[in-house]
Amino acid sequence: MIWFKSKEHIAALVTAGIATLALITSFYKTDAEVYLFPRIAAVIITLLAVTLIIKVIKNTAKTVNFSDSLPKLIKWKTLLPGLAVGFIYLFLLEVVGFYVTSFFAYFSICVIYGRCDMTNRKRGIFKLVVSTIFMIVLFLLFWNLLHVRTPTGWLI
Amino acid sequence: MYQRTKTCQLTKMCQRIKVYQRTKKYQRKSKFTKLGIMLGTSLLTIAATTNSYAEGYPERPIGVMVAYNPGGATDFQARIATLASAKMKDDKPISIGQPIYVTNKPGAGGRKGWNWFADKAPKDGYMMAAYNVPHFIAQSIVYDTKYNINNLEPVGNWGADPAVLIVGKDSPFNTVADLVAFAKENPGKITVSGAGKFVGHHIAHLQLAKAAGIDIKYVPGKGGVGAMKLVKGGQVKAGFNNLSDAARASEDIKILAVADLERHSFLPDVPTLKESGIDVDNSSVNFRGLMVPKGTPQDVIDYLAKSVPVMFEDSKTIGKMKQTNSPVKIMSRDEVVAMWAERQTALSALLEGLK
Amino acid sequence: MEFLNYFGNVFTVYHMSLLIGGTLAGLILGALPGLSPTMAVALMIPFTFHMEPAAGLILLGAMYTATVAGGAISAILVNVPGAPANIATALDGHKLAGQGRAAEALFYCFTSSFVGGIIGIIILIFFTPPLAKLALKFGPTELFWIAILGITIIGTIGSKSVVMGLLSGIIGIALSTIGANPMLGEDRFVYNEHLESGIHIVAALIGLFAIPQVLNLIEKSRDAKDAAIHDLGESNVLKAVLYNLTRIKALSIGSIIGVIVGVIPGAGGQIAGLVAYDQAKKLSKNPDKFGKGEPDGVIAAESANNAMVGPSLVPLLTLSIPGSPTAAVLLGGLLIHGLFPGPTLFTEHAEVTWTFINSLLVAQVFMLIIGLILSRHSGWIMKVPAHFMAATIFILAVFGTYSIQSSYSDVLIMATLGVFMYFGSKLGFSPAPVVLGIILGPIAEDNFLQGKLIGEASDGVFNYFTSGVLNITMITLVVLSIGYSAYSEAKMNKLKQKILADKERNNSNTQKDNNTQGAV
Repeated sequence: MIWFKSKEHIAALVTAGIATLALITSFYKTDAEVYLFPRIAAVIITLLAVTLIIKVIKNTAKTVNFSDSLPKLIKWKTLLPGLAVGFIYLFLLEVVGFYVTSFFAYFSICVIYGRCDMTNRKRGIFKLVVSTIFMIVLFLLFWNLLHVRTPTGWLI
Repeated sequence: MYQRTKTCQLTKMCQRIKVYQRTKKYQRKSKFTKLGIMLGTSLLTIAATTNSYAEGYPERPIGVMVAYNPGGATDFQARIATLASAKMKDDKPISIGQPIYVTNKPGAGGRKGWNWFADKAPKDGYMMAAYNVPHFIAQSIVYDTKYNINNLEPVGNWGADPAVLIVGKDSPFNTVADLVAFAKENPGKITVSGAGKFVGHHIAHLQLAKAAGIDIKYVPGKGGVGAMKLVKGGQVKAGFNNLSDAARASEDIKILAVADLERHSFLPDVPTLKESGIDVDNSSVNFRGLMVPKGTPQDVIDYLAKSVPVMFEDSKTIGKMKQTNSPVKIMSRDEVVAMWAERQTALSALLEGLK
Repeated sequence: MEFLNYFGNVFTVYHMSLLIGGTLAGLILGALPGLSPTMAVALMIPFTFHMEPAAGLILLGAMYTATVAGGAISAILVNVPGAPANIATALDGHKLAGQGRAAEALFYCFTSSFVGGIIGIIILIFFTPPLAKLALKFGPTELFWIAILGITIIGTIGSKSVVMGLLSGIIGIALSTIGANPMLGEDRFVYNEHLESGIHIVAALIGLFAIPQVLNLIEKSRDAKDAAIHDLGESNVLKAVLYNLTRIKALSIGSIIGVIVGVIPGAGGQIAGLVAYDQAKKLSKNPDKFGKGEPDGVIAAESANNAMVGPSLVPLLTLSIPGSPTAAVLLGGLLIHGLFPGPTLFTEHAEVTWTFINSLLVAQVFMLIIGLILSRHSGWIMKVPAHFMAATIFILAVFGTYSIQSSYSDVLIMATLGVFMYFGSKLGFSPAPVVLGIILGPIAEDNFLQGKLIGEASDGVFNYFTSGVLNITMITLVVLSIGYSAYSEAKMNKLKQKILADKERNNSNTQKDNNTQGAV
């Protein structure tokens, strides 16, 4: 498995995937006149992807030594809780209400990613206060000053 | 109704939490948890008060959804038209009796906003929308939309902006007859710009081509502004545009005809298409007004149908409309319902076979 | 010199307080990541509704100038450009901030904004009639070639390799074709109702820049070591301003390009900064310094952004054709007060119009002063702990995106694009070319379609696109731009090979360094 050993390899593979997706969506069962631009874009993406892949293969032949394991690009363990909070937040945003969900999202991110221990009560209260102040400022700014009417779900 | 039950639930929840706070179990909890509960309660109370209202419509500000960008013609006319909504006389509301705020949901030529309105808008009379006829009717015929004239209820019309046929200042055409004669000799050589596909200008174009029996090409511009630019810059040979915009630009263009049944007071010297020998009705006139979604309580619709036209008639509103060159045409709910039905039949026939 | 007669009108207490308030509010709103100038001006319009015409326009004008400059603050400090116009500022500005020269970068940014802004307004005052005539000459074909010219610079903006850059740009163009196309009257790629109105450019900008930044921040939040580097840095205001004023080449490239792009209606003033940045890089003696913290990059980009403001009002005030998205919103502000663009604006309504234009000149001065003061006191932003910063940027991104057009779909699109961009950036893709692609895609396509329709009705599509002085000029520029890129790419390749050869000589040491760098 020589393929996954550098980020260039992964990039080439991802590009090949994007090119395939672009080709299928813009050529399969579509009208030539309406999809003219998407088709041109898809073809150019494919050409560039091929260039990239050739480049990577050439470089692989040349450079002999690179690390043996897959490079650690993403710290999944750190990232996943944040992505989960984001996902739940966006999911509940319209159902529960913008301001209440945003408050909980803000507070959760602060608690999960704070530098100190999560159970530290003093810091916890500080984070709670900051979140509350932030949401009040946001409410005053958007609702009162800019008159942006976010949809109200169950709550605000 | 929906809003009211929601408020009741919220209020009940707050009370329950307050009762809980007095129990022994609560006293044993840590300071941190107490703070959390207190905060939650206060948020709930805020939520409950923002949504609450007593008997009698309307008790709080009403929204108007505009399906176009802020600053566009529909947007600023909607803002002017609703200026007088909260006006009082001897402590009694003259029209609606509550302030109106405007929310913009632009996208996909208006479809985005109207789809949202027919599908998701609250049906309690606290969210109205501005309509543009023939745009939304034509779209509901051509596209797969969530709205059509049957699930929307008009409450009043404030304006009517006819399409006008314009050519550049240096154009050889001086009358509609010149243009038709040229088009008959050179089929497919005349380009006509308009604000986009399936808007009033496109309808006017289709009607002109059909009635005069000529082959002319439609070039959709980027909105009315883009279409006007193509005419002024001489890139197209002719164009359809809003009467109000064309009347302002009279130094750079020539206005050949108005696509309406009668001449317009802004342009008394410009003939109608009919006078020029082209048998075209007023299907392309851009009517603007307010509507609510179907499912709104009948008494709310009745209240709005009575008060909205009164709001449009306010002298300050009329003055501002005049100042901004916006043609006013106030129509009652019944007149608009009839107009919508009439347009639906005319447009179905015209657009048949186009898509 | 007619404008001098109305200069006194600006200096009333009421107008001055509006100017200062508008500038301050504009700078702060512009500096919040996720709030764009177009949106800020659009949200301000209802406020001007009940004001006198002159007062309302002064407020809107001050907001317009200030938000454009304010967007640079978040671009430099947190790498989230406030508007597409500020992307180019972020490229070098944030690098400077990373080197502990944030304050310096901010001073450059406001000084060059001031210079560019003044030049732009002076052009507006003295050259409106001839420029208006020029603006009308830009038809569909000319705009199409401009978009193509923009596409030729995509590859070199903000990416390490030209192939990756171009690839990101074309993916941006492909993304821009999603949704309903009013020009064609057809829906494309609408697999889900949220895609119906397509990808809004500002939603894409926020997603592509802010979300990866949020994820980077939370990823680093547990590395204690990282916290220490963030610092505004010490810098002498006067020294920075004087240094900036000696960079005449970068300033003039920026201002000239800003003026030209501003006048061309519909070209999207959003690209002024990027084009100027690209030119400054190409004409610089050491182009490889760009992208690594080169003050000239910030200076060219910011002077172009604000030089664009004045000229973008030329087609607006004379022909009612806006030269930028924000100018389009300003048109609504004019119409509400019964001021119709055209010759009457300078005759019947001369007092209001000239007061407005003069106030724009004065607004530049306030922007410079308030901007420099704010810059000195924005150090605390750099010291905010990563978790608070991440949460704040994230929530502001959501609210900013929602308020563009009250659309929940936009929020979802923003977040999705952002997460993909985060993974993409790990593989070497960069957001700037994607945004440029999303801006240029519709300009190229819409104008191509219009040109094709018109060409078919006259003497052939090919002839129509290649005839006329302006078209030929544009095509020449496109060819020159491609030629230059190829030339510099070949030069770079030679350089790289030389470096590679050097590397092989002591490869065991360097190779290790390379690998660790790749993993970060």
